[in-house]
Amino acid sequence: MKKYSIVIFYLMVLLLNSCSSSSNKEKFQETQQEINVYTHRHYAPDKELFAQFEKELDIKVNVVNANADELILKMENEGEKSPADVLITVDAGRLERAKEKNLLQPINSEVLTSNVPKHLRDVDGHWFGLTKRSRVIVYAKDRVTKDQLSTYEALTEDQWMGKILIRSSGNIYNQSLMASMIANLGEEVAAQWAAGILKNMARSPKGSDRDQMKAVAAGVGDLAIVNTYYVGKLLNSPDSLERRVGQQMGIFFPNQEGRGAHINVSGAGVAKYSPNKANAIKFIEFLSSEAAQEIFSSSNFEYPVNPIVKISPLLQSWGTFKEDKLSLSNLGVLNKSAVLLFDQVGWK
Amino acid sequence: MLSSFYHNAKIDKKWSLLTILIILLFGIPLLTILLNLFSGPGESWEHIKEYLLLDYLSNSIFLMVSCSIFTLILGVIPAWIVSTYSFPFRKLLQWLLVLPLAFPNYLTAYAYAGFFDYSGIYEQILAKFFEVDHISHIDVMGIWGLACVMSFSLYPYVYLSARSFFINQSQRQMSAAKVLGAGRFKAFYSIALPLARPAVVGGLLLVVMEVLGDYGSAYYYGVSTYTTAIFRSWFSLEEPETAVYLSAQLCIFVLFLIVLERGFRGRKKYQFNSESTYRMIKSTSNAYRQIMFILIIMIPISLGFILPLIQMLYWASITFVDVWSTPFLTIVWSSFYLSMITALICIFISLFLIFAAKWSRSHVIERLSSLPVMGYAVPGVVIAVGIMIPTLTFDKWLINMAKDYFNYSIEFLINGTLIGLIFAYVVRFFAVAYHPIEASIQKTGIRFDQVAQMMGVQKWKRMLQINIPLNKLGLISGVMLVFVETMKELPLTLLLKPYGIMTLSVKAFEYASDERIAETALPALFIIMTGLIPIFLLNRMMNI
Repeated sequence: MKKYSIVIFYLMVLLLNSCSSSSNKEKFQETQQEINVYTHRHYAPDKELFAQFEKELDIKVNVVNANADELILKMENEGEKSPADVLITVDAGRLERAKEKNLLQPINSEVLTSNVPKHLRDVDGHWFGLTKRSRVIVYAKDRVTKDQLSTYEALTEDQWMGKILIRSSGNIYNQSLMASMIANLGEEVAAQWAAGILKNMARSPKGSDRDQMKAVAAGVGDLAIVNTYYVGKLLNSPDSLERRVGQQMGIFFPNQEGRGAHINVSGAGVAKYSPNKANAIKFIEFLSSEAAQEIFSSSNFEYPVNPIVKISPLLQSWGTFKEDKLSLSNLGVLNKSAVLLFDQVGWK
Repeated sequence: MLSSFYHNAKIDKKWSLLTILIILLFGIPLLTILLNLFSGPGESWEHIKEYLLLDYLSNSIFLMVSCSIFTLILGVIPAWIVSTYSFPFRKLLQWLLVLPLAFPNYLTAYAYAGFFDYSGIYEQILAKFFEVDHISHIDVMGIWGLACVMSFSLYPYVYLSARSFFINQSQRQMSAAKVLGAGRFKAFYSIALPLARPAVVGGLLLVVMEVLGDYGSAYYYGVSTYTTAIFRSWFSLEEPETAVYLSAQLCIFVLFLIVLERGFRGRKKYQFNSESTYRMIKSTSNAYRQIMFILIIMIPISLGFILPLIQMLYWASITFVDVWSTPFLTIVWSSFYLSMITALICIFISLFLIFAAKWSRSHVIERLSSLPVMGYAVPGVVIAVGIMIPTLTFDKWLINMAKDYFNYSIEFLINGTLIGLIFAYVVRFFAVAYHPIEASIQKTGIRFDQVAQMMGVQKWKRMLQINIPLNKLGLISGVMLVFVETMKELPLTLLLKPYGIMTLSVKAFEYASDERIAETALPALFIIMTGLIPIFLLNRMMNI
């Protein structure tokens, strides 16, 4: 009888096995065309947009949602057998990393080169920015005036001692900001800058970008360094208190006299071993199109990369700004140096 | 004579062989990781050692020690009260005490951060009802806050193991203590507590493992721990070697803890006669004490469940319409069946390993059979990768074989399928089933099994008719704990889940990583609600 128990166990395994493989077969035996999208973005309007793509081109979109690092790791491990067609991340640094790891392939698409400005895409066409945001200074309107602010570098001055709120260095947006500092000013100055910000911090770094603004509203400090869309999110929060915090914040685009405010993109690339390459290109082209850009960027209160697309009224109200034209590939290349420098100066 | 007969019976090779096979299967992800200890860390190791390691170590040790102390206080005292005294609402409170288990600790952490946030519920209440002008802000987001918040959500591990011990404890020792003139407190302190030590230490071990494996809360609260170090070196420094090296060190530390606990338990083996393991008679106490008891018990319940629940309900009330529009019940169902399958497989394997070890009478096998519990100490992401690497090799090999020899094209068999995901869950949560079952078997003993064996009863029959019914409570707590843990699991699910499958924890994560903390409330409430069902059932069963 003990044999039976083993047999039962074995059957259980087989059953499980057949469940999963039959569902797989179903998926793969379909004659309908499809693409597999690995994405770090998870906004409801994105899904609507994907559905629209499905409808218009009759190509099914399968989505795997996870953190960009994990997706990259997954693609690395899957190698040639990877089902991934498109990788979407919310940071150019990660796209560049995927490129360095040889996970993306160069795409030659006139649609994309005309829709996406040059500094917002990879030189070799491995990836294309799709939405744009800036990492800016927000300030408590009741305590700080615009003319007190000028550049990221000026935040290290003594007048901001104990006034600055910014999240931890584990955060990719801070790493990218730091990478842009290194690219523009060199490692030494960048390290001094990080040490200067650390000295002026109102508290040890913790929480999210939203939390930094809440702390500013509560008077813990006067300034925070955050991504623009988080202000939009606060202003549109279902929580009335968060909305009030958003209203208390002023937005300042730094370095307008110089190189411009640091920007970053969320973007996409075609996977190296993409089984449905043609569809993958169509998909990215679709996302960069005028019709899609408006939804794709506004779903997260971001700026469209396609210059002919209008920005939303909320974003218009923040005014136009000069952006740092540094090629975003640098953010990936210098990411590790940025992390090491953060550790060295002791920015947690 | 009995035991010498038992010990001289023929060694069963098949069971031992199967045991070793199972252990090897469990060993795959862990070995993948541990072998990296020999290949050494990456080049950033020097950097980590110089700037970060001390901070990581001291924070992790601080959290381990403080959480142990807090959960001990929050868990053992209520366990003793509910199992010893009678007072109104005892049954209700007894199961309310388990409820924090339904909260993933990262959600508790989010809830506390929100509750004590600037103009959060706490400050609003103070301002509105007590008209406090200057509210001194309570900053929970620090290492002390983290220790407290994690203890609030983890104390049920200690509570459950202590209570199941106290409920079944021997009446004889307690009456002996009474006859000798010891008061209830004295009896608790000098008889019940030392006797309960193995059970309580087992619960504490779970707490410590949870603390070591936590990433979500520590990261959000800005506390660098060993686990955040693993993530940082993996993703920020791009050195999987270093991350796996750190994980391997963590594994070895946990192995050390387990050996310590075993050694500690090994010297003190208590077995009770079945006649004497009936419940203690509850002493009725006066009204003043009854109120005291209720108040004391309400402390952990409020901290671990009611307060975070209020915060979640508040958030859910403002985000309900938005979040409800997604197909929720499908998500709930997939979370539910994934967790249930995992739980059943876990107890099946636990039972098998424990008895195979006992029946093999080989010390080596007995030692080996507890090795799979190490999976619990490894952060989910590391397990996921430990499984991803070998299964991908296997799948690719299989695909090539099929193509080369049968000219048949197949897809990944394990990777990115339910099998891979459930395998990972089982590796990760095996310890959660193993500990209560083992403790239960240790308590009931294997005497009946030995008698039955002497009478020539076959193994599977002994298992079904003697060992499973005897250890029913242990098995049910095993199922319940694994179920709830799987429900809450996040990073591993993110990495290994197949297409088209969405779980509640992943949904909650999507919102949280989008900094829409308030929107996490609805999936969170569903995790909590589904987690409540088995907790409720278990408690009804335990009360029979």
